[in-house]
Amino acid sequence: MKLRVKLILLIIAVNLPLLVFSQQLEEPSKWQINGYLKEMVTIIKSDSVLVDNLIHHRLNLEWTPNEHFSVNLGMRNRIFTGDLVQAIPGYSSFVDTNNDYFDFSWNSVDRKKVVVNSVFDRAYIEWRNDEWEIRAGRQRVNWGTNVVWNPNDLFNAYSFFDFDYEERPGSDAIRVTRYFGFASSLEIAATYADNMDDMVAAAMWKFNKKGYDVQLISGIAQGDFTAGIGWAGNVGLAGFKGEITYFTPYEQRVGGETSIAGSVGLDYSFSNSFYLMGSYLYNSNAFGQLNLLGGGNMLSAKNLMPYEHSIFLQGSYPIHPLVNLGVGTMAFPGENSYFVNPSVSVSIVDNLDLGIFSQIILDDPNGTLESTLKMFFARLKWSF
Amino acid sequence: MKKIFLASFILFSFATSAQDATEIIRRMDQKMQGKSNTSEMTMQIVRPGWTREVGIKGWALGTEYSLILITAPSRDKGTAFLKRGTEMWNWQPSIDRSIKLPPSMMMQSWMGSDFTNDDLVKQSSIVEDYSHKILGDTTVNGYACHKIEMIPKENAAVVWGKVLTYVSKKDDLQLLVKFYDEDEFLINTMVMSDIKNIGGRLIPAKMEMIPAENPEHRTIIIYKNMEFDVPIDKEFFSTQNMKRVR
Repeated sequence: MKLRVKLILLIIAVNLPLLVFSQQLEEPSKWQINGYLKEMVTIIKSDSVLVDNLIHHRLNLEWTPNEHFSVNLGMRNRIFTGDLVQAIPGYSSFVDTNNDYFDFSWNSVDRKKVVVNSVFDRAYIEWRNDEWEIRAGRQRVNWGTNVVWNPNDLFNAYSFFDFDYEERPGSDAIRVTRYFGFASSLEIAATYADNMDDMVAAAMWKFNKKGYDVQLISGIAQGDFTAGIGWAGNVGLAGFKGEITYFTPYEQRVGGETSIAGSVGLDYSFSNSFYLMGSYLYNSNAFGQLNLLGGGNMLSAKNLMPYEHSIFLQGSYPIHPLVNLGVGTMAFPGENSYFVNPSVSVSIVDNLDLGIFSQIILDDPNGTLESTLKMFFARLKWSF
Repeated sequence: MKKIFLASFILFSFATSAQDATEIIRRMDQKMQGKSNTSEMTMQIVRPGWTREVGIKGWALGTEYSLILITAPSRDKGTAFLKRGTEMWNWQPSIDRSIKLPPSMMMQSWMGSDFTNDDLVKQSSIVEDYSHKILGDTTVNGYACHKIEMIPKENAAVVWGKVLTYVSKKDDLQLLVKFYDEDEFLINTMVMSDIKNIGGRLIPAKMEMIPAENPEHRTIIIYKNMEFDVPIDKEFFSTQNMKRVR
C-alpha cells in the first residue's frame, strides 16, 4: 500500500509542471514541456526465460525568458519489475549508475521486486546570440556524424544495443561554440572532473566544402591525446559518411596503447521509401565480449565494439504508412558470431506508437551456429 | 521565301506561346512564393479508416533555401529540415544532432504523405526546370483558366515526365495540377481551393494531393498563415538555426 502511494506521488510530482503549464498554452514560447511515457515488456531467453517490465517516463522542460537565454532540464523516471530485477543481486545499484561528475541519480524505491530510479540527465543553462553559444551543465555533446558507430563521439559514446535510450546520458560539461556560416563552427568542450585522466576536453572545427560536412577534432579523452576527422556527404545519390579517431596515451600506463577507431557507411533511400544502410567499423583496440545487457553506460568512443572488424547492414520499409518493418544484421569477420535485430513499429494514433523489437545473438560455442541469447521487447510509447 | 517566312512565323508564334506560358507560370509562382516567405500550415494525411495531422512552420528564400519545422504531433515536435541548394539536413532534438540526408531521400514520401520531400522543400523550380506551352483554355471550378503543359528540361532533377497546370486568367491562381510519369500515366492530381486573402495576397489556402492509384487517399495542406517578401537572407538557413527556430 505504502509503495503504491509512493509511486502515485512520484507520478504526480513529475507531471505537476505539465498540469500547471498546460493551462498556459496561449504563450508557449517561454515554456516548452514535452516528453513521453513508455511501457515495455522484455523477454530474455537464454538457458532460462526471464520476463521483465519497465515503465519509463521522460520529461523535458525548457524555459526561454528571452531569445538569448534558456534553462533546460531533462528527467528520466523508470520503474523496474520482474524476474531480472529479482535474479540479479544489486540490481538497484546497477540501475543507479552515473557516468558524470555530479550524482543526479537516485532510487526512490529499492525493494526486492521493484526498483524505481530517477535521474536528471539534462540540466544546463545556455546563452546565445547569432555567432556564439555557451552551454554549461549536464548536456549531450553529440559529435557523431555517421550512422550506427561514432568514433568521433568523445563525450557520450553509446552502445547501439541500448535502443531504449535515444537521448543518451549527458556529460557535466561546459561548451563554447562560435558559428561562422551555415555549417561552419568552432566548438570547444570540456567535462568537469577531479583529475585529468577522467576528463574529456576537446575542440572541433566544422566546415562545409563541395557538398561535404567535414569535422576535425583534437583534444584529450580519458588519458589519451586524441585527433580525428569525420565527414558526411554523398556519392551519387547515396549518403557517404565516416569518422576516424586516433588515440595515444599521454603517459605510460597499464593497458594504455595507441589505437585507431574508424567507421564508414553508405545509405540510400529508394523512392518507395525502402531504406538501405551499410556500415563498417574498424577498432584496433578491440577487447571484451559482445554484451547486450547494459554494457552501454561505460562505453567509450575508443571501444565501441569488442571486435576488430564489425559490419552492419540494415534495411527498413514501410509496408503501410503506419507500419515500418526493419531488420539489421551485424557480422564480425574472423569471429563466427552474428547479431540480428528485427523490428516492427506501428503508429496506433497520433502520439501513440507500438514497437516490437528483437535482439538475437548467433554464436558457435559447440562448433555449430546457434542462437545463444534471444531478447524480445514490446513497447508502447505515448508522446506528449 | 514564302516557306521561310511561314517557318519563321510558326517558330515565332511558338516562341511567344512558350514565353507567354513561362510568363504565366513565373507570375503564378512569384505570387505563391514571393522572393521569400514564411508560412504556417497543417498537413492532413487521409486514408480509409485513419487520418494523421502534422503541424508545419516554414521559411523559404527562392527555391534554393528552405527550412521546415515540425510543430505537431508531440512525437515529432522540434524536428527540422534544412535545404540549401542540393544539400539537406535533418535536426533531431531528442539526440541533439543534425543528420546530413542522402540526396536520394528527396524523392521519398514526406512523413508518409502523398507529397515527396521535393514537393515540400522545392528542390526543383517550376519556372527554371521546365519548358512551358499553353495547350488551350478551359474552366476549373468556375474560373476561366489557361491549360499549360510543362515538360522537364533535360538535366532537371525532376521525377515527372510531364506536368499539366491550370492557371486562372484572372489573378494567376494555380487551381489544378496533374503529374504524369515518363510513360504519360497520371500519378498525382493536386486540387487547390478555398481562395482567400492570406498575407495580403489572394491565393488558394487549401491544397489536396490525390494519388491516381488510390483516389480515396489524399493529403491536404491548409495554409493558416503566410507572409511574403519577408526580410530573411541566406544566412538564416543554417544548421544552427534548425535547432533555434520556434
